[in-house]
Amino acid sequence: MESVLFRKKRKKWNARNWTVFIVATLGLVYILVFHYVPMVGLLLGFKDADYSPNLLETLLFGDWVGFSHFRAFLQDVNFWNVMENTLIVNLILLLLNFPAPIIFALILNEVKHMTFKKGIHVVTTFPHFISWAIYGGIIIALTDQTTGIMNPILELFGLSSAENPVYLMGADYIWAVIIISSILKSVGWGSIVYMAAIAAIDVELYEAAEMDGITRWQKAIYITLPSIASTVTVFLLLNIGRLLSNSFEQFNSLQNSVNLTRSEVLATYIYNLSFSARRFGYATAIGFFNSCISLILLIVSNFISKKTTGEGLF
Amino acid sequence: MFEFGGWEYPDFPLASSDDTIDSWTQWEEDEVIEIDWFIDSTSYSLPREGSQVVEEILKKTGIKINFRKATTGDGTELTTMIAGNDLTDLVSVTAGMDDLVSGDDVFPINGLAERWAPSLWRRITEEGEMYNTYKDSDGNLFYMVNNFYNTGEVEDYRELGGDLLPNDGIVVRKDYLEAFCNYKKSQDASWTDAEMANPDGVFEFLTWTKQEYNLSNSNHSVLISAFDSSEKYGSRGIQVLMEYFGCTEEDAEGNYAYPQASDNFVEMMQWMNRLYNANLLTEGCLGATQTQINQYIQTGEPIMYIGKMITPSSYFRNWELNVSGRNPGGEDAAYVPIIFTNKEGQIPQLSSRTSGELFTMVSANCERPDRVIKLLDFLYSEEGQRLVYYGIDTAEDPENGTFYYVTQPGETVTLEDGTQHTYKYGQMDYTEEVKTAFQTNVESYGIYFCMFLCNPMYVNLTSVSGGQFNNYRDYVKWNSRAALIPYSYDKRGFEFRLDSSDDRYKSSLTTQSNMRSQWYRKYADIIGQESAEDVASKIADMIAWCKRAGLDEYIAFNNDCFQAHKQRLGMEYAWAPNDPDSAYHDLIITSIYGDVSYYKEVPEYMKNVNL
Repeated sequence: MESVLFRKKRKKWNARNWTVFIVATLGLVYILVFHYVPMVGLLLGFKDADYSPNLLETLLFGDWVGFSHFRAFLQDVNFWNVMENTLIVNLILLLLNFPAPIIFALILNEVKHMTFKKGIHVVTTFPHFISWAIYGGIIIALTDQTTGIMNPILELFGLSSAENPVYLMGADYIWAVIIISSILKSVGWGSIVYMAAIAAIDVELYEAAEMDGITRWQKAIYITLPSIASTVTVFLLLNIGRLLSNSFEQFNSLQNSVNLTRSEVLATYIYNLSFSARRFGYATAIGFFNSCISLILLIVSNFISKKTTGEGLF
Repeated sequence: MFEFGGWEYPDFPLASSDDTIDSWTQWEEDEVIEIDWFIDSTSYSLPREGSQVVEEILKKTGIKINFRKATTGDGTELTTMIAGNDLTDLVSVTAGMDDLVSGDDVFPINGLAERWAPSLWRRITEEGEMYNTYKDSDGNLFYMVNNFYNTGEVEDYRELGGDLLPNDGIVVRKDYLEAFCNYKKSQDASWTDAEMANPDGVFEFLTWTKQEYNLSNSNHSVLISAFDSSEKYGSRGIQVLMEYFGCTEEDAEGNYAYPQASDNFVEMMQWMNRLYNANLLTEGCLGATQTQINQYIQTGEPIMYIGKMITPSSYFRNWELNVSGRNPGGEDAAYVPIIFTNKEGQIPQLSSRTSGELFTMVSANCERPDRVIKLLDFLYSEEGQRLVYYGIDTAEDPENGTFYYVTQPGETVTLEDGTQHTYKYGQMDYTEEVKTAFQTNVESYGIYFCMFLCNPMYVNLTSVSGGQFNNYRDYVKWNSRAALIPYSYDKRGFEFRLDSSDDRYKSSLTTQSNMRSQWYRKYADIIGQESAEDVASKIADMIAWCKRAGLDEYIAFNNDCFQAHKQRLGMEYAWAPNDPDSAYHDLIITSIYGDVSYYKEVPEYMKNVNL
């Protein structure tokens, strides 16, 4: 059996099938040009590149400063605040935003009315296609204290009043706004891959289980979830690898001076250092630091996953 | 002329050395070129391609300009251009000029002018003060500046009854203020509104209004210009309040001082904290975007607004014209400026921008600097200013002309007060067609669009209306600040730049960047403290942190640059209250409204605009 599979694999990648080579080459070129070549720029993190008027020149001929930018970041007055915001928001997102599309896909899988099912999926997928600049603007408008609809809704539940209005874009609530808006924006789109995985499950498994008198809940728990476990594992590992990465657009669009102590994450901090303060070397060092931690997290979580479930990315 | 070492200039034919011949007249008719001009500001509108002004520039100079402006206000595009060595032919920036200069990314204007535009050099050095203000320690001038005018022009303008407006200010709703004044007078007939021209008086007015008009805590009662990390003090509103409270960058001896370290700054922040704790300046007010602020102004929500006046001027107009349908009072409820002192009774000094806003430079990437410098010469000249502000003379083109001379250049006229005035450039007025177009837009004419080298004093000295008064919004822009004119001062003395050739330059920039970023993060937190003592304590902590971050070295370096700048301008003190000879010491506040004699009535026909 193994030798047959091996032969099939070789046949698939045979040079005669030149279209496959071209497509694969394009992908490789893309990764090389846009992901590997820019890594040369990481050298700026070790060079005196702050305020440099010509980064290429600095990259090639600039003075080396060793790990001074990295040391400066660890002593940065905002280090703990930025790291705390980045990690906590991402952990909450991992806990809530990651399972949300899985649960949504499981629920949607149980809907038998196809038109309704498709309708719901289209509606929930739509926000994914709106840019964060627009989506963020909508959220700001909805949470406006005098013209938004959120405060009147909160008032109905006794959570806000004209005398004690809630400012949802303030530091106290911004995490909730970020997390809820993120779930609303991504749940539909994120569920597509799980819906596809569910669709690939052999229907005979369900039919056999039905004959044994299994309930719908038990079907979801004992058949559907285990069948998509490998997909879930892959996405979980990727999400853990992104624990220090946030959607820059999301945070930037919702950030203001009042919530900055809760909304400044590594992505926005690096952006502001690079483009507003023009501290290119320092910002590159922080970005590199971020990437290194993410890589370590990914390797560790992959190791744990392989040890415990046998599934992993590599 | 100077020795221009260090730059390599292309080998194009030199212009005539006769500097009385306008340089832009010296080009081959068939040699039309195309250039890119990047404006690193979101505030400016770009001239429409094919508009009369743009077409005329092409006709005069043989240059087709592709204008581009920043889409974000954070300098991202410019930074990317600089880093990638991809600067456009002409670049107009609001900050970061020294980095471009130190990186040899731009040509010296004087080097280019010597070769290809001697007439520009004559204009800059003989007719203007731009050179003395902006030349570097080697005598090179790297940028040309808009919104710049000379002392002599200001004097001429004053002869005509005009004066310099402060850049920004504080405005309140007139109906609320009048109601409060009436209330106070009903309590005490001898009370005058000058008595409330202090922080306590204004606070009382705000709390009374909130209560009297039953404004809820969710109402945006006090608004300040939106926070923006690129602003020197986090928000233009904070900057304006600092001016009202007398926080300055110069101490009594004329040395550079860090304004946040002053007692006046603490007092100002404590006052804002009072507003916060009285639910006047809420988190919603502090976190509002400029778009939201504009919307609130348009619906008359704020009792008081502090900060930029030009940006929201369309919304002040909309409020006055009752576009939202919530202002039956019309102009009676207009936002009007107020003036008040700090608790020590120090009268404010509000800055007036006499120096530049946009700094235009010729990039080292420019392939035809010989032609581009001629373009700058044209735009900077009287002929260029005339084109930008007035368009085309009907005497030259009766069919397409947009203005005509009411007074000929050099003609002397007897003014209303009986004095004689000679209009050096003449006096002009628009055709009826253009006047009508001004009520909606003048985009197709291109007038008032190519403002990147404009001299606003030109229009003040040549317009029949005595300035830019072409539509309702222009009047709003004037009236929102006019009554503050006696309290404004020329801030040119503070417009110094850090010397990029100094060894301390980079570390100073880092310190400045760190401190600004930290203050930006802390403003809302400090304002939102529970008590005035907590505010003072938080500020003290911040100053202590700034000292650890290198504040003392930063002050020392700034002071050296500040002193060198003042020396170049021939001034001992930049801050009027420090100067024993300045007119500041005779200033008094006679009314919370300031000097209302500067107000201008909006002509009736401008009020009936379908917005």
